[in-house]
Amino acid sequence: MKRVYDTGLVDNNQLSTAVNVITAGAAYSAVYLLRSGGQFNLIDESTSQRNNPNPEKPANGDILTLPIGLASKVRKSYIVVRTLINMSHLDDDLRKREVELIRIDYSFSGGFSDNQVYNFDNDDITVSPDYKMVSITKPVEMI
Amino acid sequence: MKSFITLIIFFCVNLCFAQDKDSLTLKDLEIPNSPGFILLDQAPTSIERPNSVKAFTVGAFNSFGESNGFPKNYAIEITPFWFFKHGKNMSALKYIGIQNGKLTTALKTVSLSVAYVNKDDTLTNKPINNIAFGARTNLLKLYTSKQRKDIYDAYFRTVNHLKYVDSTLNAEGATVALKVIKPDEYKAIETRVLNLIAKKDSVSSIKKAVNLRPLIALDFAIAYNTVFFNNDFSTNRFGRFGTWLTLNYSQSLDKEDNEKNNYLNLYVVGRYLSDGTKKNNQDKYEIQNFFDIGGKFEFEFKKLSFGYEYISRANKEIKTHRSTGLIKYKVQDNLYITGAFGKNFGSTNNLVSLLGVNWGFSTGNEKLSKK
Repeated sequence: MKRVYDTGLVDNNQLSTAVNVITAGAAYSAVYLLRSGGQFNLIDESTSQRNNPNPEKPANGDILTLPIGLASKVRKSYIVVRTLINMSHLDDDLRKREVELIRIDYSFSGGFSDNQVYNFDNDDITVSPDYKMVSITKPVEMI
Repeated sequence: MKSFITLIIFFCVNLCFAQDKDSLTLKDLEIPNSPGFILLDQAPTSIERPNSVKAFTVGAFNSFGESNGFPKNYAIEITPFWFFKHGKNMSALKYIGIQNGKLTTALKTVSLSVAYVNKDDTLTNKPINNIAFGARTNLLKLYTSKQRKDIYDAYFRTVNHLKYVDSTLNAEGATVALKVIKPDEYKAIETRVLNLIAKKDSVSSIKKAVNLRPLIALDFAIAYNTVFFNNDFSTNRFGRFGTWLTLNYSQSLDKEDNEKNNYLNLYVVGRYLSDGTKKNNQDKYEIQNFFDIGGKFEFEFKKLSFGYEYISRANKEIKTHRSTGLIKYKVQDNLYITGAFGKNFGSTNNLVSLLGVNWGFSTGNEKLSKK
Protein backbone atom coordinates (compact mmCIF):
# COMPACT_ATOMS: atom_id res chain seq x y z
CA MET A 1 0.00 0.00 0.00
CA LYS A 2 1.27 3.43 -0.93
CA ARG A 3 1.76 6.00 1.81
CA VAL A 4 2.04 9.75 1.36
CA TYR A 5 4.38 12.24 3.02
CA ASP A 6 3.65 15.95 2.63
CA THR A 7 6.93 17.75 1.97
CA GLY A 8 5.32 21.17 2.53
CA LEU A 9 5.29 24.39 0.57
CA VAL A 10 8.80 25.47 1.57
CA ASP A 11 11.17 24.33 -1.15
CA ASN A 12 14.29 24.30 0.97
CA ASN A 13 12.92 21.93 3.62
CA GLN A 14 15.64 19.34 4.20
CA LEU A 15 13.93 15.95 4.31
CA SER A 16 15.32 12.85 5.90
CA THR A 17 14.32 9.27 6.53
CA ALA A 18 15.32 6.38 8.78
CA VAL A 19 14.50 2.69 8.79
CA ASN A 20 14.38 0.55 11.92
CA VAL A 21 14.06 -3.17 11.26
CA ILE A 22 12.95 -5.25 14.25
CA THR A 23 13.41 -8.95 13.65
CA ALA A 24 15.43 -11.93 14.82
CA GLY A 25 16.21 -12.63 11.17
CA ALA A 26 19.27 -11.44 9.28
CA ALA A 27 18.26 -8.29 7.38
CA TYR A 28 19.43 -5.98 4.64
CA SER A 29 17.72 -2.78 3.50
CA ALA A 30 18.11 -0.64 0.40
CA VAL A 31 16.59 2.84 0.01
CA TYR A 32 15.68 3.95 -3.50
CA LEU A 33 14.59 7.30 -4.84
CA LEU A 34 12.07 6.80 -7.63
CA ARG A 35 11.56 9.80 -9.90
CA SER A 36 8.24 10.62 -11.49
CA GLY A 37 9.57 9.52 -14.87
CA GLY A 38 10.24 6.00 -13.61
CA GLN A 39 13.99 6.34 -13.14
CA PHE A 40 15.29 5.21 -9.82
CA ASN A 41 18.58 5.11 -8.01
CA LEU A 42 19.89 3.56 -4.82
CA ILE A 43 20.53 6.31 -2.31
CA ASP A 44 21.62 4.22 0.67
CA GLU A 45 21.76 0.72 2.03
CA SER A 46 22.44 -0.99 5.35
CA THR A 47 25.91 -2.44 5.57
CA SER A 48 26.86 -5.94 4.56
CA GLN A 49 30.46 -5.57 5.71
CA ARG A 50 31.70 -6.96 8.99
CA ASN A 51 34.53 -4.46 9.39
CA ASN A 52 32.34 -1.51 8.67
CA PRO A 53 34.13 1.70 9.66
CA ASN A 54 30.93 3.74 9.56
CA PRO A 55 28.93 3.39 12.78
CA GLU A 56 26.03 5.07 10.99
CA LYS A 57 25.56 1.91 8.99
CA PRO A 58 24.34 -0.94 11.18
CA ALA A 59 24.33 -4.47 9.82
CA ASN A 60 20.83 -5.42 10.86
CA GLY A 61 18.92 -3.76 8.05
CA ASP A 62 18.63 -0.42 9.84
CA ILE A 63 19.23 2.87 8.07
CA LEU A 64 20.03 5.63 10.51
CA THR A 65 18.98 9.20 9.74
CA LEU A 66 19.49 9.64 6.01
CA PRO A 67 19.17 13.04 4.30
CA ILE A 68 17.16 12.52 1.13
CA GLY A 69 17.31 16.04 -0.23
CA LEU A 70 15.45 19.32 -0.40
CA ALA A 71 11.68 19.25 -0.66
CA SER A 72 11.85 20.88 -4.09
CA LYS A 73 14.06 18.03 -5.37
CA VAL A 74 12.12 15.05 -4.06
CA ARG A 75 8.57 16.33 -4.41
CA LYS A 76 6.46 14.16 -6.76
CA SER A 77 8.87 11.25 -6.34
CA TYR A 78 8.84 8.14 -4.19
CA ILE A 79 11.13 6.86 -1.49
CA VAL A 80 11.00 3.09 -1.74
CA VAL A 81 12.62 0.90 0.92
CA ARG A 82 13.19 -2.77 0.17
CA THR A 83 14.15 -4.95 3.13
CA LEU A 84 15.22 -8.55 2.64
CA ILE A 85 15.26 -10.92 5.59
CA ASN A 86 16.74 -14.40 5.96
CA MET A 87 15.09 -16.56 8.65
CA SER A 88 16.89 -19.82 7.93
CA HIS A 89 18.76 -19.93 11.25
CA LEU A 90 15.45 -20.31 13.08
CA ASP A 91 13.81 -23.69 13.57
CA ASP A 92 11.01 -24.59 11.17
CA ASP A 93 8.25 -23.97 13.70
CA LEU A 94 9.60 -20.58 14.71
CA ARG A 95 10.00 -19.00 11.29
CA LYS A 96 6.31 -18.49 10.60
CA ARG A 97 5.89 -17.01 14.05
CA GLU A 98 8.87 -14.68 13.55
CA VAL A 99 7.47 -13.49 10.21
CA GLU A 100 4.38 -12.35 12.13
CA LEU A 101 6.58 -10.50 14.60
CA ILE A 102 8.59 -8.50 12.03
CA ARG A 103 8.19 -4.79 12.49
CA ILE A 104 9.74 -2.02 10.41
CA ASP A 105 9.45 1.64 11.28
CA TYR A 106 9.92 4.00 8.32
CA SER A 107 10.48 7.48 9.74
CA PHE A 108 10.27 10.68 7.72
CA SER A 109 10.95 14.20 8.91
CA GLY A 110 11.61 17.74 7.69
CA GLY A 111 8.40 18.31 5.73
CA PHE A 112 4.92 19.62 6.43
CA SER A 113 3.95 16.22 7.84
CA ASP A 114 6.79 16.71 10.37
CA ASN A 115 7.88 13.48 12.03
CA GLN A 116 5.88 10.69 10.51
CA VAL A 117 6.37 6.97 11.09
CA TYR A 118 4.92 4.38 8.74
CA ASN A 119 4.78 0.62 8.96
CA PHE A 120 4.55 -1.86 6.15
CA ASP A 121 1.19 -3.15 4.97
CA ASN A 122 0.07 -6.65 4.07
CA ASP A 123 0.55 -6.10 0.36
CA ASP A 124 4.14 -4.96 0.93
CA ILE A 125 5.39 -8.32 2.21
CA THR A 126 6.25 -11.46 0.26
CA VAL A 127 7.32 -14.65 2.02
CA SER A 128 8.76 -17.85 0.56
CA PRO A 129 6.67 -20.97 1.31
CA ASP A 130 9.17 -22.27 3.86
CA TYR A 131 9.33 -18.85 5.57
CA LYS A 132 13.10 -18.70 5.06
CA MET A 133 13.11 -15.62 2.83
CA VAL A 134 11.09 -12.46 3.30
CA SER A 135 10.95 -9.35 1.14
CA ILE A 136 9.21 -6.18 2.27
CA THR A 137 8.95 -3.24 -0.12
CA LYS A 138 7.47 0.02 1.16
CA PRO A 139 6.85 2.94 -1.20
CA VAL A 140 6.19 6.37 0.28
CA GLU A 141 5.07 9.12 -2.07
CA MET A 142 6.53 12.57 -1.51
CA ILE A 143 3.91 15.21 -2.31
CA MET B 1 5.52 -53.21 26.98
CA LYS B 2 2.58 -50.83 26.97
CA SER B 3 5.04 -47.97 27.09
CA PHE B 4 6.47 -49.19 23.83
CA ILE B 5 2.96 -49.39 22.38
CA THR B 6 2.46 -45.78 23.44
CA LEU B 7 5.67 -44.85 21.71
CA ILE B 8 4.58 -46.58 18.54
CA ILE B 9 1.25 -44.71 18.65
CA PHE B 10 3.09 -41.41 18.95
CA PHE B 11 5.38 -42.47 16.11
CA CYS B 12 2.44 -43.28 13.84
CA VAL B 13 0.64 -40.06 14.72
CA ASN B 14 3.83 -38.18 13.98
CA LEU B 15 4.16 -39.79 10.57
CA CYS B 16 0.53 -39.03 9.76
CA PHE B 17 0.92 -35.36 10.64
CA ALA B 18 4.20 -35.19 8.78
CA GLN B 19 2.38 -35.84 5.52
CA ASP B 20 1.03 -32.32 5.42
CA LYS B 21 3.47 -29.56 6.18
CA ASP B 22 0.73 -27.03 6.82
CA SER B 23 -1.07 -29.14 9.37
CA LEU B 24 -0.13 -29.60 13.00
CA THR B 25 3.26 -31.27 13.15
CA LEU B 26 4.79 -33.13 16.06
CA LYS B 27 8.35 -32.07 16.56
CA ASP B 28 11.37 -33.08 18.54
CA LEU B 29 10.05 -35.96 20.50
CA GLU B 30 12.14 -36.04 23.60
CA ILE B 31 11.70 -36.69 27.26
CA PRO B 32 10.35 -33.53 28.83
CA ASN B 33 12.95 -31.63 30.80
CA SER B 34 10.77 -28.90 32.25
CA PRO B 35 11.97 -27.65 35.66
CA GLY B 36 8.85 -29.11 37.25
CA PHE B 37 9.82 -32.66 36.33
CA ILE B 38 13.36 -32.08 37.53
CA LEU B 39 12.14 -30.60 40.83
CA LEU B 40 10.03 -33.68 41.43
CA ASP B 41 12.94 -35.98 40.55
CA GLN B 42 10.76 -37.40 37.79
CA ALA B 43 12.89 -36.42 34.83
CA PRO B 44 15.21 -39.00 33.29
CA THR B 45 18.05 -36.64 34.04
CA SER B 46 18.40 -34.07 36.79
CA ILE B 47 21.14 -32.24 34.96
CA GLU B 48 20.17 -30.85 31.63
CA ARG B 49 20.40 -27.70 29.68
CA PRO B 50 17.48 -26.38 27.64
CA ASN B 51 17.25 -27.63 24.10
CA SER B 52 16.71 -25.29 21.23
CA VAL B 53 14.02 -22.79 22.06
CA LYS B 54 10.51 -23.81 21.10
CA ALA B 55 7.54 -21.53 21.16
CA PHE B 56 5.31 -24.18 22.68
CA THR B 57 6.14 -27.66 23.89
CA VAL B 58 4.05 -30.47 25.22
CA GLY B 59 5.71 -33.36 26.99
CA ALA B 60 4.54 -36.68 28.28
CA PHE B 61 6.33 -39.66 29.70
CA ASN B 62 5.76 -42.87 31.49
CA SER B 63 7.90 -45.18 33.55
CA PHE B 64 8.48 -48.84 32.75
CA GLY B 65 7.02 -49.81 36.11
CA GLU B 66 3.63 -48.24 35.66
CA SER B 67 0.96 -50.66 34.59
CA ASN B 68 -1.07 -48.01 32.84
CA GLY B 69 0.15 -47.87 29.27
CA PHE B 70 -0.76 -44.26 28.63
CA PRO B 71 1.47 -41.51 30.02
CA LYS B 72 0.43 -40.13 33.41
CA ASN B 73 2.91 -37.31 33.53
CA TYR B 74 2.64 -34.22 31.37
CA ALA B 75 4.21 -30.82 30.97
CA ILE B 76 3.60 -27.80 28.81
CA GLU B 77 6.19 -25.15 28.30
CA ILE B 78 6.02 -21.83 26.49
CA THR B 79 8.66 -19.29 25.57
CA PRO B 80 7.00 -15.84 25.83
CA PHE B 81 9.60 -14.31 23.49
CA TRP B 82 7.77 -15.92 20.58
CA PHE B 83 4.36 -14.58 21.57
CA PHE B 84 5.06 -10.88 22.02
CA LYS B 85 6.52 -8.04 19.97
CA HIS B 86 10.29 -7.82 20.12
CA GLY B 87 12.07 -4.80 21.56
CA LYS B 88 13.18 -2.05 19.20
CA ASN B 89 16.79 -3.25 19.18
CA MET B 90 16.13 -6.86 18.28
CA SER B 91 18.46 -8.16 15.59
CA ALA B 92 19.75 -11.52 14.43
CA LEU B 93 23.08 -11.12 16.22
CA LYS B 94 21.28 -10.30 19.45
CA TYR B 95 18.99 -13.26 18.96
CA ILE B 96 21.97 -15.54 18.41
CA GLY B 97 23.50 -14.14 21.60
CA ILE B 98 26.91 -12.96 20.45
CA GLN B 99 26.21 -9.24 20.45
CA ASN B 100 25.92 -7.07 23.55
CA GLY B 101 22.73 -7.33 25.52
CA LYS B 102 23.03 -10.23 27.97
CA LEU B 103 19.71 -9.26 29.53
CA THR B 104 18.04 -9.49 26.15
CA THR B 105 19.50 -12.95 25.71
CA ALA B 106 18.26 -14.07 29.11
CA LEU B 107 14.77 -12.66 28.53
CA LYS B 108 14.66 -14.23 25.10
CA THR B 109 15.28 -17.71 26.45
CA VAL B 110 12.97 -17.51 29.47
CA SER B 111 10.50 -20.34 29.31
CA LEU B 112 7.58 -20.95 31.64
CA SER B 113 6.20 -24.38 32.32
CA VAL B 114 3.59 -26.33 34.17
CA ALA B 115 4.17 -29.99 34.91
CA TYR B 116 1.67 -32.53 36.15
CA VAL B 117 2.88 -35.71 37.79
CA ASN B 118 0.40 -38.31 38.92
CA LYS B 119 1.46 -40.96 41.41
CA ASP B 120 -0.32 -43.45 43.57
CA ASP B 121 0.09 -43.33 47.35
CA THR B 122 1.87 -46.50 48.39
CA LEU B 123 -0.29 -46.95 51.51
CA THR B 124 -3.80 -46.01 50.36
CA ASN B 125 -3.32 -46.57 46.63
CA LYS B 126 -5.09 -43.24 46.06
CA PRO B 127 -3.71 -40.73 43.59
CA ILE B 128 -1.25 -38.02 44.58
CA ASN B 129 -1.45 -35.15 42.11
CA ASN B 130 1.62 -32.96 41.79
CA ILE B 131 1.50 -29.69 39.94
CA ALA B 132 4.77 -27.84 39.46
CA PHE B 133 5.32 -24.39 38.01
CA GLY B 134 8.74 -23.66 36.64
CA ALA B 135 10.86 -21.18 34.76
CA ARG B 136 14.29 -21.37 33.29
CA THR B 137 16.64 -19.33 31.18
CA ASN B 138 20.13 -19.19 29.81
CA LEU B 139 22.21 -16.61 31.67
CA LEU B 140 25.46 -16.87 29.81
CA LYS B 141 26.90 -18.31 26.63
CA LEU B 142 30.61 -18.17 25.96
CA TYR B 143 31.90 -19.02 22.51
CA THR B 144 35.52 -19.58 21.55
CA SER B 145 37.07 -16.87 19.40
CA LYS B 146 36.95 -19.27 16.44
CA GLN B 147 33.25 -19.94 17.02
CA ARG B 148 32.52 -16.23 17.24
CA LYS B 149 34.44 -15.63 14.03
CA ASP B 150 32.56 -18.46 12.31
CA ILE B 151 29.19 -17.04 13.42
CA TYR B 152 30.06 -13.48 12.39
CA ASP B 153 31.41 -14.69 9.05
CA ALA B 154 28.27 -16.73 8.40
CA TYR B 155 26.08 -13.79 9.38
CA PHE B 156 27.79 -11.36 7.03
CA ARG B 157 27.83 -13.93 4.23
CA THR B 158 24.06 -14.10 4.71
CA VAL B 159 23.65 -10.31 4.66
CA ASN B 160 25.82 -10.13 1.53
CA HIS B 161 23.60 -12.76 -0.01
CA LEU B 162 20.57 -10.60 0.76
CA LYS B 163 22.26 -7.74 -1.05
CA TYR B 164 22.70 -10.09 -4.00
CA VAL B 165 18.98 -10.96 -3.82
CA ASP B 166 18.17 -7.25 -4.03
CA SER B 167 20.26 -7.01 -7.22
CA THR B 168 18.65 -10.17 -8.58
CA LEU B 169 15.17 -8.75 -8.05
CA ASN B 170 16.13 -5.65 -10.01
CA ALA B 171 17.70 -7.77 -12.74
CA GLU B 172 14.60 -9.93 -13.00
CA GLY B 173 12.40 -6.88 -13.41
CA ALA B 174 11.08 -6.53 -9.87
CA THR B 175 12.24 -2.94 -9.64
CA VAL B 176 10.94 -0.36 -7.23
CA ALA B 177 9.38 1.39 -10.21
CA LEU B 178 7.34 -1.71 -11.01
CA LYS B 179 6.29 -1.94 -7.35
CA VAL B 180 4.70 1.52 -7.64
CA ILE B 181 3.34 1.27 -11.18
CA LYS B 182 2.25 -2.39 -11.35
CA PRO B 183 2.34 -3.87 -7.86
CA ASP B 184 0.73 -7.16 -8.94
CA GLU B 185 3.40 -7.81 -11.55
CA TYR B 186 6.06 -6.85 -9.03
CA LYS B 187 4.62 -9.31 -6.52
CA ALA B 188 4.60 -12.14 -9.05
CA ILE B 189 8.27 -11.69 -9.97
CA GLU B 190 9.26 -11.21 -6.33
CA THR B 191 7.47 -14.40 -5.30
CA ARG B 192 9.11 -16.41 -8.08
CA VAL B 193 12.61 -15.13 -7.24
CA LEU B 194 12.22 -15.66 -3.48
CA ASN B 195 10.90 -19.19 -3.94
CA LEU B 196 13.85 -20.11 -6.14
CA ILE B 197 16.41 -18.60 -3.78
CA ALA B 198 14.86 -20.14 -0.65
CA LYS B 199 15.42 -23.61 -2.12
CA LYS B 200 19.17 -23.11 -2.45
CA ASP B 201 21.44 -24.48 0.27
CA SER B 202 23.39 -21.23 0.44
CA VAL B 203 20.39 -19.61 2.10
CA SER B 204 20.78 -21.84 5.14
CA SER B 205 24.53 -21.48 5.67
CA ILE B 206 23.96 -19.33 8.75
CA LYS B 207 22.01 -22.10 10.49
CA LYS B 208 25.05 -24.34 10.77
CA ALA B 209 27.08 -21.61 12.48
CA VAL B 210 24.27 -20.62 14.81
CA ASN B 211 23.80 -24.20 15.92
CA LEU B 212 27.35 -24.44 17.24
CA ARG B 213 27.38 -25.33 20.90
CA PRO B 214 28.93 -22.57 23.01
CA LEU B 215 32.02 -23.65 24.88
CA ILE B 216 30.40 -22.73 28.19
CA ALA B 217 26.77 -22.10 29.04
CA LEU B 218 25.22 -21.17 32.37
CA ASP B 219 21.51 -21.84 32.90
CA PHE B 220 19.21 -20.89 35.73
CA ALA B 221 15.98 -22.63 36.73
CA ILE B 222 13.39 -22.25 39.46
CA ALA B 223 10.32 -24.36 40.25
CA TYR B 224 7.54 -24.61 42.82
CA ASN B 225 5.40 -27.64 43.45
CA THR B 226 2.05 -28.04 45.14
CA VAL B 227 0.44 -31.36 46.02
CA PHE B 228 -3.16 -32.58 46.01
CA PHE B 229 -4.37 -35.85 47.41
CA ASN B 230 -7.02 -38.05 45.84
CA ASN B 231 -8.05 -35.37 43.29
CA ASP B 232 -9.36 -33.15 46.12
CA PHE B 233 -8.50 -29.45 45.83
CA SER B 234 -8.96 -28.82 49.57
CA THR B 235 -6.00 -31.10 50.29
CA ASN B 236 -3.67 -28.59 48.63
CA ARG B 237 -0.30 -28.32 50.41
CA PHE B 238 3.26 -27.26 49.70
CA GLY B 239 5.37 -29.87 48.02
CA ARG B 240 8.73 -28.60 46.94
CA PHE B 241 10.61 -25.49 45.93
CA GLY B 242 13.93 -25.51 44.18
CA THR B 243 16.30 -23.24 42.36
CA TRP B 244 19.44 -24.29 40.57
CA LEU B 245 22.30 -23.31 38.29
CA THR B 246 23.72 -25.60 35.63
CA LEU B 247 27.13 -25.00 34.12
CA ASN B 248 27.77 -26.77 30.84
CA TYR B 249 31.08 -27.24 29.05
CA SER B 250 30.89 -28.60 25.48
CA GLN B 251 33.97 -29.89 23.72
CA SER B 252 33.70 -30.73 20.06
CA LEU B 253 34.97 -34.21 19.18
CA ASP B 254 35.31 -33.38 15.49
CA LYS B 255 38.83 -32.75 14.34
CA GLU B 256 38.39 -30.40 11.41
CA ASP B 257 35.10 -28.66 11.98
CA ASN B 258 31.85 -29.02 13.85
CA GLU B 259 29.79 -30.26 10.96
CA LYS B 260 29.22 -33.69 12.47
CA ASN B 261 28.14 -32.19 15.78
CA ASN B 262 29.85 -34.75 17.99
CA TYR B 263 30.43 -33.43 21.48
CA LEU B 264 31.60 -34.34 24.93
CA ASN B 265 29.38 -32.42 27.32
CA LEU B 266 30.34 -31.92 30.96
CA TYR B 267 27.86 -30.47 33.45
CA VAL B 268 28.01 -29.23 37.01
CA VAL B 269 24.82 -28.45 38.93
CA GLY B 270 24.21 -26.72 42.25
CA ARG B 271 20.70 -26.73 43.65
CA TYR B 272 18.84 -25.47 46.71
CA LEU B 273 15.82 -27.58 47.51
CA SER B 274 13.08 -27.07 50.07
CA ASP B 275 11.19 -30.34 50.44
CA GLY B 276 7.84 -30.58 52.23
CA THR B 277 6.86 -34.03 51.08
CA LYS B 278 8.20 -36.08 54.01
CA LYS B 279 6.41 -36.77 57.28
CA ASN B 280 8.06 -36.55 60.69
CA ASN B 281 7.58 -38.85 63.67
CA GLN B 282 4.32 -37.09 64.57
CA ASP B 283 2.95 -38.05 61.15
CA LYS B 284 2.98 -34.40 60.04
CA TYR B 285 4.61 -33.02 56.96
CA GLU B 286 7.72 -31.00 57.70
CA ILE B 287 9.95 -28.95 55.46
CA GLN B 288 13.51 -30.07 55.00
CA ASN B 289 16.12 -28.01 53.18
CA PHE B 290 18.81 -29.60 51.06
CA PHE B 291 21.70 -28.66 48.86
CA ASP B 292 22.39 -30.72 45.76
CA ILE B 293 25.73 -30.79 44.06
CA GLY B 294 26.53 -33.06 41.18
CA GLY B 295 27.88 -33.59 37.74
CA LYS B 296 27.28 -35.40 34.51
CA PHE B 297 29.23 -36.40 31.46
CA GLU B 298 27.57 -37.05 28.15
CA PHE B 299 28.81 -38.19 24.78
CA GLU B 300 26.71 -36.77 22.01
CA PHE B 301 26.92 -38.14 18.50
CA LYS B 302 24.80 -37.51 15.47
CA LYS B 303 22.04 -39.98 16.33
CA LEU B 304 23.01 -41.27 19.72
CA SER B 305 23.85 -39.74 23.03
CA PHE B 306 24.59 -41.43 26.32
CA GLY B 307 25.81 -40.27 29.66
CA TYR B 308 25.98 -40.76 33.39
CA GLU B 309 25.12 -38.41 36.22
CA TYR B 310 25.72 -38.40 39.95
CA ILE B 311 24.15 -35.92 42.35
CA SER B 312 24.65 -35.74 46.07
CA ARG B 313 21.77 -34.37 48.17
CA ALA B 314 22.46 -33.51 51.77
CA ASN B 315 21.56 -31.50 54.84
CA LYS B 316 22.76 -31.84 58.43
CA GLU B 317 20.83 -35.05 59.08
CA ILE B 318 20.30 -36.72 55.72
CA LYS B 319 22.62 -37.65 52.93
CA THR B 320 21.48 -39.38 49.77
CA HIS B 321 22.36 -39.45 46.11
CA ARG B 322 21.07 -40.06 42.63
CA SER B 323 23.05 -42.14 40.17
CA THR B 324 21.61 -42.72 36.71
CA GLY B 325 22.57 -43.55 33.18
CA LEU B 326 20.80 -42.02 30.21
CA ILE B 327 20.62 -43.00 26.57
CA LYS B 328 18.87 -41.19 23.75
CA TYR B 329 18.51 -42.31 20.17
CA LYS B 330 17.32 -40.22 17.27
CA VAL B 331 15.12 -42.41 15.09
CA GLN B 332 14.41 -39.61 12.66
CA ASP B 333 14.47 -35.84 12.69
CA ASN B 334 11.44 -35.54 14.90
CA LEU B 335 11.43 -38.81 16.76
CA TYR B 336 13.66 -39.60 19.72
CA ILE B 337 13.58 -42.52 22.10
CA THR B 338 15.00 -41.83 25.52
CA GLY B 339 15.62 -44.17 28.41
CA ALA B 340 17.07 -43.76 31.87
CA PHE B 341 17.98 -46.33 34.49
CA GLY B 342 19.50 -46.03 37.93
CA LYS B 343 18.98 -45.03 41.53
CA ASN B 344 16.97 -41.99 42.56
CA PHE B 345 17.29 -40.00 45.78
CA GLY B 346 16.11 -41.64 49.00
CA SER B 347 16.29 -45.16 50.32
CA THR B 348 12.89 -46.49 49.26
CA ASN B 349 10.96 -46.46 46.00
CA ASN B 350 14.09 -45.11 44.38
CA LEU B 351 14.34 -46.95 41.08
CA VAL B 352 14.72 -44.76 38.01
CA SER B 353 13.39 -46.59 34.96
CA LEU B 354 11.95 -44.22 32.45
CA LEU B 355 11.07 -44.32 28.82
CA GLY B 356 9.42 -41.37 27.22
CA VAL B 357 8.58 -39.13 24.36
CA ASN B 358 7.99 -35.45 24.10
CA TRP B 359 6.82 -33.34 21.26
CA GLY B 360 6.74 -29.63 20.69
CA PHE B 361 4.23 -28.28 18.27
CA SER B 362 3.93 -24.86 16.87
CA THR B 363 2.05 -24.10 13.72
CA GLY B 364 2.78 -20.43 14.16
CA ASN B 365 -0.90 -19.90 14.87
CA GLU B 366 -0.90 -20.14 18.66
CA LYS B 367 -1.26 -16.65 20.04
CA LEU B 368 -1.33 -14.99 23.41
CA SER B 369 -1.72 -11.51 22.03
CA LYS B 370 -2.51 -9.84 18.79
CA LYS B 371 0.27 -8.15 16.93
